[in-house]
Amino acid sequence: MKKDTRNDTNNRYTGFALAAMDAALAERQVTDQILQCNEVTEKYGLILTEHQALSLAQTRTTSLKENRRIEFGSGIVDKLIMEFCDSPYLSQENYEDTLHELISLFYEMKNLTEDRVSDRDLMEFMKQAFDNGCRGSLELLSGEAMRLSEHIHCGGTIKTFRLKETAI
Amino acid sequence: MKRKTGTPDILHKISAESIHPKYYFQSLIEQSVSCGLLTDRDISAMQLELMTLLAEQTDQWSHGESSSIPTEKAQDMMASVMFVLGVQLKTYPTPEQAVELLKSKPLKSLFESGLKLVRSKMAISRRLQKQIADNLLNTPNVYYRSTIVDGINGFFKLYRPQFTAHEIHITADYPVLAGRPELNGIEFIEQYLRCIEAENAFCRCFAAEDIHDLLCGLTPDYPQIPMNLFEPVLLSALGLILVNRNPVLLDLHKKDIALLQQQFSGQPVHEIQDSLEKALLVLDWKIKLPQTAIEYAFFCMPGIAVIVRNAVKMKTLDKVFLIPSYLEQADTN
Repeated sequence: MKKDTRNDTNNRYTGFALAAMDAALAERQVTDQILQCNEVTEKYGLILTEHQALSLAQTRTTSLKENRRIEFGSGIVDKLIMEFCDSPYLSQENYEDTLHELISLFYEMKNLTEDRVSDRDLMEFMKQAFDNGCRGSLELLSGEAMRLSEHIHCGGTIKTFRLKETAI
Repeated sequence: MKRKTGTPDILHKISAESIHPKYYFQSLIEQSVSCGLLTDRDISAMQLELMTLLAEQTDQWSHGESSSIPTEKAQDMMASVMFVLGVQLKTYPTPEQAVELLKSKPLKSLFESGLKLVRSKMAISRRLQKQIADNLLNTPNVYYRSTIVDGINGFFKLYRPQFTAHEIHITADYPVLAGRPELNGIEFIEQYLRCIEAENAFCRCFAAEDIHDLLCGLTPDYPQIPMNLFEPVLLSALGLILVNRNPVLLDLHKKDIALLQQQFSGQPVHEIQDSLEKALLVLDWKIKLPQTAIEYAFFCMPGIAVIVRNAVKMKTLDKVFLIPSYLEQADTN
């Protein structure tokens, strides 16, 4: 058998299985999970419609693809919502748009920190930075995120990273 | 079961030769689909099982701390899962029986059995390496010791059967005569070590100094060359048998080479192979070769016979049946 054929076989079945998995993570399931969060977030005046929830599920799918990542289970969108729902910088007006940005930033950060920061720790970092030094600015949050990734590359950990009191 | 060429084998739908040993699981699936042993429904069910297995693996890899992983890492882990499944499936007597197991047993249980088998092969390979290292041929060739001792040690330091069972990690620079095993992971290492075990056992039947002089006959730089040591030693011994001389000192002369040239001239490969195999039996009778060495030498014979045939045609038999350097110098003087 030709070597190339065998490599194709390996990639064909590996890729096929992964593609099946990616498709299988139904956006419907993710959408439902996001909508369930309304039960908690509505006390903060934050509600997502089904259309908005589906859009966020799609952002998750796109973000995963762009960052060349694969996610099992329902993912982190609902956890991100639970983490950020009590932020003083979130309002019904900016709720959906902010979540779109947070989802994209989260998966980007997972790559930039080379998977050395857990989902939990990364979300906590993003929330703390957003609420404190960044005062609700996604642009500043992005800057803090880059600082964190540099800190990790230089051998630091999330525990040894110092958030700026003001990121301006 | 032997079958005539062109006659379909109704008992064995899958030909074992069509399944690649390196990518056994994937290759088996492909062949099974081609001959109708697996349906699209079977494949879909299997893919879902693979996905679940992969999800569990990535969860273990990230210690439950990450819901997502890089695609490349997932592909790597999937390759590892498939490799482990392949190791387990190879234990069944026929590909058809392996396919039946795939349909009837959960993939997770096959994977767990496969992982146990991988770990068992690791233990066997470690013991085999130690055995070889404790009886290693004393040679200045840097690749011999550095590959067999340091290289293989490096493999065991890096090998993680749970997540990257298919990786070889090392370059395995020392070339064995039987050819680089077309296998992955621990299967590669196990097969590679078995070849080295046989080659080393054969070479140890001769004095290290005689082997050194023989190889210097090829080039005094052989210690720095990643070359197979077994082949010239084997051929020297067989050559001496064929010219009715004592094989122990590996001391073929120029006139012996001329005799061998005459003997082999015009012979087809199968006749050359036949002569070499008979010489091997005589060699065994004279110096009592280890069983692994005899079996290995027989396995390598078809390739060796071709090398000899080509050298006969090109009149370069002295590059195949080497003359030790001290004899070369004596002839020059």
